[in-house]
Amino acid sequence: GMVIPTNVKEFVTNALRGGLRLDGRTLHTIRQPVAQFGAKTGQCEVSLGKTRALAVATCEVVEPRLNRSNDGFLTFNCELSPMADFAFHEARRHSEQATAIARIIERMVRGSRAIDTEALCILAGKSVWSIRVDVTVLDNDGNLVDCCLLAVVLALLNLRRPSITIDGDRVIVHSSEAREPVPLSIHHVPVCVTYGLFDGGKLLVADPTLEEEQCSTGRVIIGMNTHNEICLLDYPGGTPMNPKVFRQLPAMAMERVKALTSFIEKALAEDVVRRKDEALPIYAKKFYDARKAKAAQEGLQPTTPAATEGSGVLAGDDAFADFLARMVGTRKSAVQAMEVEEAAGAALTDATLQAAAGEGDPSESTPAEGEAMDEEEPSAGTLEQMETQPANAVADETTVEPALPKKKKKKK
Amino acid sequence: VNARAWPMSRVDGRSPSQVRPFAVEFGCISHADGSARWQQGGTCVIASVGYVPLLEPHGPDAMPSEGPHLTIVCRLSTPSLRRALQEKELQVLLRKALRSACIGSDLAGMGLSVAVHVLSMDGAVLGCSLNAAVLALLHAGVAMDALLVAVHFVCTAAGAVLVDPTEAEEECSTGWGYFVCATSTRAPARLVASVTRGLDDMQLLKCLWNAPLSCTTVAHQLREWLPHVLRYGSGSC
Repeated sequence: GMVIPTNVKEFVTNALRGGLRLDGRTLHTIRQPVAQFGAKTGQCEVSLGKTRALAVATCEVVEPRLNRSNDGFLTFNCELSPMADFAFHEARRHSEQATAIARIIERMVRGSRAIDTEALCILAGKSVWSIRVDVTVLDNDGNLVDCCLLAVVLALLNLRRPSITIDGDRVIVHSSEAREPVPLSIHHVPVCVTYGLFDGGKLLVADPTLEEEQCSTGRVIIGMNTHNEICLLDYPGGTPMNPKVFRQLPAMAMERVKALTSFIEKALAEDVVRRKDEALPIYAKKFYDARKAKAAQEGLQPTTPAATEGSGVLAGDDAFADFLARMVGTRKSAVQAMEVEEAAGAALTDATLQAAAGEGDPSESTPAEGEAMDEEEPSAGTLEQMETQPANAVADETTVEPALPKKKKKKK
Repeated sequence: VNARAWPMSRVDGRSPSQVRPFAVEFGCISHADGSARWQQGGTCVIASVGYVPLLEPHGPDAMPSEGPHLTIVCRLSTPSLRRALQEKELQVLLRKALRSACIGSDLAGMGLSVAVHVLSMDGAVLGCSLNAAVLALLHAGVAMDALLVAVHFVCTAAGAVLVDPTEAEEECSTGWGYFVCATSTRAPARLVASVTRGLDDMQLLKCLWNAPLSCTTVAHQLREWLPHVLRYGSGSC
């Protein structure tokens, strides 16, 4: 790691001896994690203070290995993104530290039988599930292992695999529209707590930040679940530890484990609610409602021929026609293809072109279709209402609009 | 119901020229000199920028006139067989555009290290990556003469041109285009870079016509709440 000045090291160690930490926590408090799930299931970004990790879990039906025809695949892959730390800037995909983290996660999840690879079997010898979890560390502020494991566990618990039916010898995988995807079968929720060791093993500090990690002389990771089972004990050595303290580790960590498990449950429950709420994009709902109301009010108006069947003219027809004629010369065919009458006598001066460009309407406020949706923009939620020059203004050479779009209420 | 009153619209209810609402968050990566997160619909990209010391002022392949020395790394988060290829493509396309945006070729002997990580993909990934990277450069304080904004277009088999496609729309399209415009308050938007594939000449002209307009609108909105966002850290429209 980076070189730490001696005085910083001494300062941090002295403070820890007195039970003080730089961010105000006690020696055994862990940072409050925050979980954020993605749009697809099985994706979770966890931040533990400033440390951030993203885990993406995916599943696929594959053929099993020849010598293990009953076992599915469960692979973990960890990556330290170059944005996480200056020390990761070599941008190698697989560094030692990353492999070590992946190994720890694998021991925690697969080694403790949280997910049984035999349960991933669909048809012995023919089809099994292959689950792959990729973790990326986005920001490093110490305690990468805890953060990555939390992200992995949340991603696995959040993952929904397509439901399958076995028809004799065939496996039918149902799409998510046909049948609701099902969660994985996970037997218990493993959680780990990292302790940094100071003072020759006499001082244990839970969830060290980057600075504390760099000042520490060693670390010990204990992984447990709420059933009081130890999933993993990782003590790579380098610092001696008092055996009495060692024996007290599970009891010490139990409270943190319970807190983390309840956090996991709460985060997953919140995500279920969020997915129900976000079934339809917000702008679509409001858009449809506004349009229906409008159509009901005003009756149905015919649209210009160019509008239907997806001719896809995005901005004002006349303005585009002028632009087109300028680009391709005054070939009538180019303009005729637009099905728009050329403004009589409209000379294509720079002013007109700039005026057309300066209309600046995002062509969302002037849908070329000129349809009933007049004022729907605020509900669409993206862009302000911009002034729309009615299409005839382009032919008017005397008005030279400024190049910048002005923000005004749209008139029609 | 008269079919003409319900013009062609997309699955999520947008009009063909409507960009998805986007959200920006600055400072998400505490270690980086500048970082930004760009979320547009289902696509979410994080970019971070760091100043790195240069061992030699200009490498053998660097041209001093092109901008500061910039190394860029792109990562996608979903595993796929073509992932390495897609990442390389992103890197190559973004590097050129970003270098041209920055003023000055020598940042006091430092180069820029840009890392882009695509958290989730739902169409318009290239455009969102560029937007995130540009905002990260802004957050890091790199001098740029114009705000680069990227926008995506997609052409369907029916001949329609749609802005800001989702993944589903991208998959059933016949051609796509990615356009980067340099927007500034003093001059109209100018096209800086573009990558297109499968567009015929009419569709290309339609895209070229609309790209500066869409980019200007996005930039306009960005400029509106940039002061607020830089102060409070995040904002969305």
